[in-house]
Amino acid sequence: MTVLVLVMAFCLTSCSAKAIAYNNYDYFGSPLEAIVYGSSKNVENWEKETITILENLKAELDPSYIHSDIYNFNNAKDDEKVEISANTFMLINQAKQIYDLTNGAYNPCVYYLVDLWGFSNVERENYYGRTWQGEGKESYLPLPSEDYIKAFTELANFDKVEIAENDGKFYLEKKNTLTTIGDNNYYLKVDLGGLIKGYATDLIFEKANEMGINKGYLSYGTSSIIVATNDKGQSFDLTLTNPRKNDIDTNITFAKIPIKNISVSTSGDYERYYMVDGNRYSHLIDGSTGYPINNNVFSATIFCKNSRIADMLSTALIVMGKDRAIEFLKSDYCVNNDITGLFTYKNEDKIEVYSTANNIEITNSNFELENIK
Amino acid sequence: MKKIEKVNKSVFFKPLDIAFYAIISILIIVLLCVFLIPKNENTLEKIEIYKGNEVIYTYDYNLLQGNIEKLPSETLIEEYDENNCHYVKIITEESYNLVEIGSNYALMKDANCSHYAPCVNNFSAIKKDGDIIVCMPHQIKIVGVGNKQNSNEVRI
Repeated sequence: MTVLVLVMAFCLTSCSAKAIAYNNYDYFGSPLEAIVYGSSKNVENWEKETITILENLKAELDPSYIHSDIYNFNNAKDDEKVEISANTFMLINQAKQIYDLTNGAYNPCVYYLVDLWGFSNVERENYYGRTWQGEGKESYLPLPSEDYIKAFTELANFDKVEIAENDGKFYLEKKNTLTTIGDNNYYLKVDLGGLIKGYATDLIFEKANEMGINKGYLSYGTSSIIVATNDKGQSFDLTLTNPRKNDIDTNITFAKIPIKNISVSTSGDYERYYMVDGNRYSHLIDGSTGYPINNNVFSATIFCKNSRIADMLSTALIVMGKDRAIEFLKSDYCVNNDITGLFTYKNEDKIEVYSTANNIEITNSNFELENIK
Repeated sequence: MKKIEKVNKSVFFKPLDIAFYAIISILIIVLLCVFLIPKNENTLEKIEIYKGNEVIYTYDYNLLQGNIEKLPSETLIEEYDENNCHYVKIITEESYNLVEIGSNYALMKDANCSHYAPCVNNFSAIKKDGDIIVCMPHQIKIVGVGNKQNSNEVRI
């Protein structure tokens, strides 16, 4: 009996689930949260390694971090060669591949457009020719003017970035990007925010596996999740956020899907947006038009083995619009790389869910599943 | 026959045995209560307000009072109570955020980050641990702190 009690006590007290959360802006403007299962010592060491990984990424890739590769490139003029790290070189190349693959639907060069429409993470000093209207609480900034939208759309061209390798060193260079509006000169800028969080989750989870932590999940912001298994080695239930909560109903989610050992990324026009005269302006900018997306695709989710690819593709899918998104999900690229996905599309009173993902269960009667074959 | 008689005469449980098993049983019950009874996951313990990556203000639900943790330069924090809610104003020369803290929630009531103010209009109220409201232009973030969730559900 005594032995039984001791065994029970040991089992109960050694349940080593540990939740950690980083709630600060230090790393790319989003909170990092993890629920992992491992010995306290391993988890503690892993937390330290996580900080090191994020510090290194910040020093290389954060556009607001002085002398990061991206900061240096963004502050360079045309024809100035900027030396970058092998890591940045690899990521820029991968971004270019996805940019080409999606015909620019994923576009890391929409830097100025994102700022112009009011969605950059930095405190804004430049209102691009606009002045505040009204007073006090009623004050507002008018929508961007056409000349800025047109000029910055032309700047959103990744083909004007030369990526080069020479004698083991790596370089980026802008070609013919100078754009003048009024008294101000603008040169192309990039922001790898569309893949950094995914890349960070990849690295941090790899480190966890190396350290013997292989159960749990890690989420970065609200859009990027990498999932192993729960503490019992089984799937987690992923629920997908209703992109029109309060507009069509009050349900928080619209679908459920069991997942394990996979990366998931979602993009949607429902978290960062504003309404003007009944029109929605979200942070998802179509680099080919210069405007926030307006194609009745509300959200897109990608499932694959690589978080940064999932991040880029979920953004691309929502920008593509319904027909292109369906074709893309059916493409050889997705099939050969085990990439599945889904997106929500408004069709009159219903929201259709076009999906190639397995085992999806629609949990909201306002949504209708359309399997892509 | 002798053996049977001996057994019949002996008491099956001696008082000391009963006491021992009682203690063991109580221990088991206590352990089960501590580890298996689910904790209330939806209780907020604290609201934290960040400017950049520093906590500048916390509201403690146990004490029902707030505390200015750190006052950034050229920033003013004002507090007042109205209609059973606690209000926290974070003011700089150009920016303004008003946080409403209710008995079991917190939200961004007003802000002048732009006339769109997504932090006011788009974010749901904070009701549990990990819920967040962000005002990107002013680098203000409100975070709910409470018991960590431990469910099998992941939302994206």
